[in-house]
Amino acid sequence: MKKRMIAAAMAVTVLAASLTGCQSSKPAETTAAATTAAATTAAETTKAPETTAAETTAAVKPYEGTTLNVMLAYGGADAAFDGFTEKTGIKVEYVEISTGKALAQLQAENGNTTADVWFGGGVDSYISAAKLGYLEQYVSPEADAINPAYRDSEGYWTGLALVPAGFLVNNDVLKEKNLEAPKTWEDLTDPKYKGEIIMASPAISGTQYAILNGTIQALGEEKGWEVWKGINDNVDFYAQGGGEPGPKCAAGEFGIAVLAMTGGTFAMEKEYPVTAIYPEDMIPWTPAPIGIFKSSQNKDAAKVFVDYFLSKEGQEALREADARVMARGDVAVPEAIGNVDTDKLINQDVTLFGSQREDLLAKWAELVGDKDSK
Amino acid sequence: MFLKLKGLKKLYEEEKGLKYLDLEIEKGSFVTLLGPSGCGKTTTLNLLGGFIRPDSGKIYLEGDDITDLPPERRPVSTVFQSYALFPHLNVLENVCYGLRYFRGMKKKDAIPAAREQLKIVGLEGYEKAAISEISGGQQQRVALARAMATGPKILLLDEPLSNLDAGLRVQLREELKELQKKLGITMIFVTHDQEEALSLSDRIVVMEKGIAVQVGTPREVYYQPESSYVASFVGKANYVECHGRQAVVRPEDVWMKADPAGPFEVKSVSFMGSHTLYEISDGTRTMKADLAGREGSSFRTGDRVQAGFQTLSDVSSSRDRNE
Amino acid sequence: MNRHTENRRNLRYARAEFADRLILALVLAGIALFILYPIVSVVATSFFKDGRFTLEYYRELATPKSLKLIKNSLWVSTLSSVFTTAAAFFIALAAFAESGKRRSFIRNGLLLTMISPPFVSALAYILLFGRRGIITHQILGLSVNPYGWHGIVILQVIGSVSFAALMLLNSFDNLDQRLILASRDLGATPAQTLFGVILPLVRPGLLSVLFMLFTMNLADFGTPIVIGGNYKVLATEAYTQVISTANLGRASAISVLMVPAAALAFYFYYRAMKMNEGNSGTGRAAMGDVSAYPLTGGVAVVTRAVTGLFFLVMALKYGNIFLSAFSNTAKGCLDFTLDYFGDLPRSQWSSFRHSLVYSAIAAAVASLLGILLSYYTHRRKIRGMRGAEFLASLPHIIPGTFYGLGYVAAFSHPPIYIRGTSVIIIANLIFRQLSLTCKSANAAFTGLNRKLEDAARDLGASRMDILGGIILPLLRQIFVTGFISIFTSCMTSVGAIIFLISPGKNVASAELFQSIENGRYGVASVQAVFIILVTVSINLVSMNLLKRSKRGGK
Repeated sequence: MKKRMIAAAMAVTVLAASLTGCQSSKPAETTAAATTAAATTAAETTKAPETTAAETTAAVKPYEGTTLNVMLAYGGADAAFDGFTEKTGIKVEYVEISTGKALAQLQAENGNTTADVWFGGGVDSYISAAKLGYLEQYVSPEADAINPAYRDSEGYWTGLALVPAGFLVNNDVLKEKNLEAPKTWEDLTDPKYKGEIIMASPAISGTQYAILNGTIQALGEEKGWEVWKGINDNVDFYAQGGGEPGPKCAAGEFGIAVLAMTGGTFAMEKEYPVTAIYPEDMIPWTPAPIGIFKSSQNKDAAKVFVDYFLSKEGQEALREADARVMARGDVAVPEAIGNVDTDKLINQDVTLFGSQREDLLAKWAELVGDKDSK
Repeated sequence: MFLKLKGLKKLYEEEKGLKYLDLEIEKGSFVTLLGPSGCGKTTTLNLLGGFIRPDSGKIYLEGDDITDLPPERRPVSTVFQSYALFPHLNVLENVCYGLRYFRGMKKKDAIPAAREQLKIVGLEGYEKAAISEISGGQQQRVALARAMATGPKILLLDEPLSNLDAGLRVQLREELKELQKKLGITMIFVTHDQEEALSLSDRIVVMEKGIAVQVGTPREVYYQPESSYVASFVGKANYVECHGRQAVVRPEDVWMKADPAGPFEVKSVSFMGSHTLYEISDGTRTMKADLAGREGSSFRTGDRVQAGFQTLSDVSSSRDRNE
Repeated sequence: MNRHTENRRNLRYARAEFADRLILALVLAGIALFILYPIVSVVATSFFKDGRFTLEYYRELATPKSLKLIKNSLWVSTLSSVFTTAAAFFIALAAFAESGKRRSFIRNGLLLTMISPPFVSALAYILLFGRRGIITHQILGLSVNPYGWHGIVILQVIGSVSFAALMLLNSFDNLDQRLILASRDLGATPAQTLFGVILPLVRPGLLSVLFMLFTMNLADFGTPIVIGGNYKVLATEAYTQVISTANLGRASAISVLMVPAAALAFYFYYRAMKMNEGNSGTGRAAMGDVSAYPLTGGVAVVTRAVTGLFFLVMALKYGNIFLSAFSNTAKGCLDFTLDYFGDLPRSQWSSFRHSLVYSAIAAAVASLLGILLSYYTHRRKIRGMRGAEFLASLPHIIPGTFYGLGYVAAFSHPPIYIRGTSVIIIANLIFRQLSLTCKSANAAFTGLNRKLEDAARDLGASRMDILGGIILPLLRQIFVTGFISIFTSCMTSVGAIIFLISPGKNVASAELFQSIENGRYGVASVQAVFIILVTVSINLVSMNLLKRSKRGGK
């Protein structure tokens, strides 16, 4: 028996050695060796007017051959990656993973991720990750063109776009039940909508959390919770992800969905008997951020990547890939997401998303009881 | 002594297995372990084959202690009860198996040797046949060829004929005996069939409840049983009082004569062809009689007869375990 | 025999003995490293907070809400597994008792419908039977609520019934058919034969399927999350805890709650296995393709009704998935479209390639390991191997997400840093499925004559000669069926690997899950169709290889 144990122990060591041996084959060293001078050149070129930018970077591709690993929570953004690769020679590998899952993974691996860049998703997760020390501070030279309300003051993350929230209604269902479409958040509390509203759990969906936090910031604690209590009375159960309410409403399962208003939401109008509606009283929103992981071995290339998607060119490419209100003031709001009245956007402090999260969700859990898991 | 078993013991739960066995076997002899199921004969065979280790006791082969030698190193081969032929290999491959592994032969050398073995058991032309395609008797021969191919010093046979029908059984019995004589190989044979044991063996070991109750030549075991257990297991037996002691009477040692005033009445008749079995009774005791030939077959149920018998040498009642 | 050969032989035995030990050591090391270590790593998070030992997470769980979760979990898992087993019994009976074309139709149907990509059947269910479902609303004019425990049960039954029926069919096929003939000969009615002879004989198989389903359903988080509505179970709770609050400690504590129930199920499985050892029937009546138990009377009606219903449901399910891939079905009319193909994620093809490669490697290795584990445990009866076997069955019992996080926790730092590699994904797939072939190998070993190994040893074969030349060739069928079922579940599994995929190392099933989460149901259907087609073709190829090699072996 003893002999067997020793043999087992030996086998474990051998196996361990062989396994660890096969994972360090990335061109990380080459990147690290690249001079800071090159990095600054890259930053400067991206800052230059677009006409010349294309030429200069085409000539100087200091990170050609580098591969950036991206954790993506920005539906459709992958379509914009090819343009970046063409321009810089930096390859992009990505995996789509919702930010909640990503944060759990980061915690399990103690921030020791193999990804370089975190792209899109719920800003509250970014705030938590920054607090846990998983993110690198980086203020892009492009950040000047972006409203300070959309980015972290310490530079852990920068908003790529705004995700406004609103309603999607199924016209057939409403007609059948003789209901008119809701216009404001308070309308949702009307008992006539009982059982007809679907929305995600704010504990899981970053957008839904932003809606909850933003409306409470706007309405004040007391009034805010009163509205949510009323809405909760009309909700049967909470979806376990932000992607669920839209299609459920489109399929007629529910008359009204509360969701993020993206190009995809409006595209459903063409396919299904649905209408996307911006609330008339106020529009909650959340920035879709971008950040660099502290454990990244390719930080310089990652900075080039961040700079690109914050530049006018990159922002336009991103808007092309998935229509959203872009963070840069000089990039027009796309038509595809309807008439968003930017004055109605809630005037909120995004940093509170992080600091209030635990308390807010605890209160939420108390309010909804069995309907939601948190 | 060629093979010596000394104080072998291997007990399982519920007292099954082998309690104690001392046995010496001469080179080139044919020894049968005979007994009912559960008597320990298969345990003995497994101990000899090396498939199990004894609780205590030793096995010596030509003076060497082989008790702890695993089966793959013992110069002992087994023909298993249901043959245990490898179903995924063909006839030739089965026979080659031991040549290649036990004898360490190269494939090209093993094939002619295996063919030779198949020729000995009369299976030429079946080399490429799948095991599932050949008959039971043929499978038995393949098993025999496979075991002999390794050139064992001892061949163990575990009820090798029990899965065959009667005619084939007798035929293969003859062949086996002949083969043994021809090759001079030591064979240890396990069976519960006394007829097989008597016809094949040089010596018979009669076993009961984990103990060898008698060891001897077939004649000794048959005509001088040391207990009534042996007497009734090896052949049929009548028990009679004789001079105040119990004696064994073999049915064929009973004679009968037609006599309307005779003390015995014929109770039943079983005609077997070459001989006829009777059960006769005088009201107090019942006896079996076995009469040979046409003449012996003339009695009918209900006939009254005179009868007499010859006893075997006395069976000492002190050694009786059956009563 | 000369000294030279003798020496060579002894060397060979010594080497084989060493190789034997080495293989055993590797199997045990694999289990220790890729099962025990990650599980311990993640369970540890439920006992430590900020580096100090605490029972806080368990104290937090001592609430009526947790009790209700446990009750819900047990209720749903029990119902699902009982219904599934009952339905699978009749379907397997049909596959066993029918003859000719029907027989092969049912058998092939079961093999095909075993491939069930996650979540899409829930979508089909909602589309057909939802509040505005095509059948419930548009045809029957009802408005029923599909969300809740009944939805979970229905979908779990649909999702696992093919697998269960295939497992049961094994027991049926191993029946000693002469017993059925004897029962008929003695004048028993079909129903009497069914309940008096067939049912008791397949009971061990039935029980082991029941317990296996129970643990699978207990650990299933995907179905309840999509269709459970506000009906929560332990597995979903553990999952949402992780993704909403990243509270690994509590999630891990919740998962630990599931272990006793799973261990109990494992114990019953063992008891069932033991019962099986006695009656491994090898006798078949020599009747060719004619069934020993032709279906007649009431039994025929029930059996055919259940089987018919099964195929109807499967037709609806797969028809729906295929239609959803090519058309916009949500409006209730068919608008043919190829749009969804264009919307496939950019990394789709590399993910597919990964899925194929990872699943094939994992299936081959896991099948082999499972057979070896079973061999050392049940054939060689090495002491302590039972414990190893129990450990090996743990990943199948505990929720996949939990097991996946265990890998993240265990392998993100030295000594074994394999995060972000293919190795971590493949290892996870292998060890999650290990117990599957181990179980079927256990069953196969009971039917394999022990004397064959004795004979081989007697003929001088070393341990390695026996393993490679006797055991593995004779278990070829187990290997191939194991390969197919593990390959299938690797291609469709989501739970464990969603935390292990990394940029450039994505797999198709995880991408499908992401599409569902993002609400891109049309794209999800296309991905599901691809997964089905690829898996079907690989399975067909493997089966043909098996058939050919069988014929060639004769």
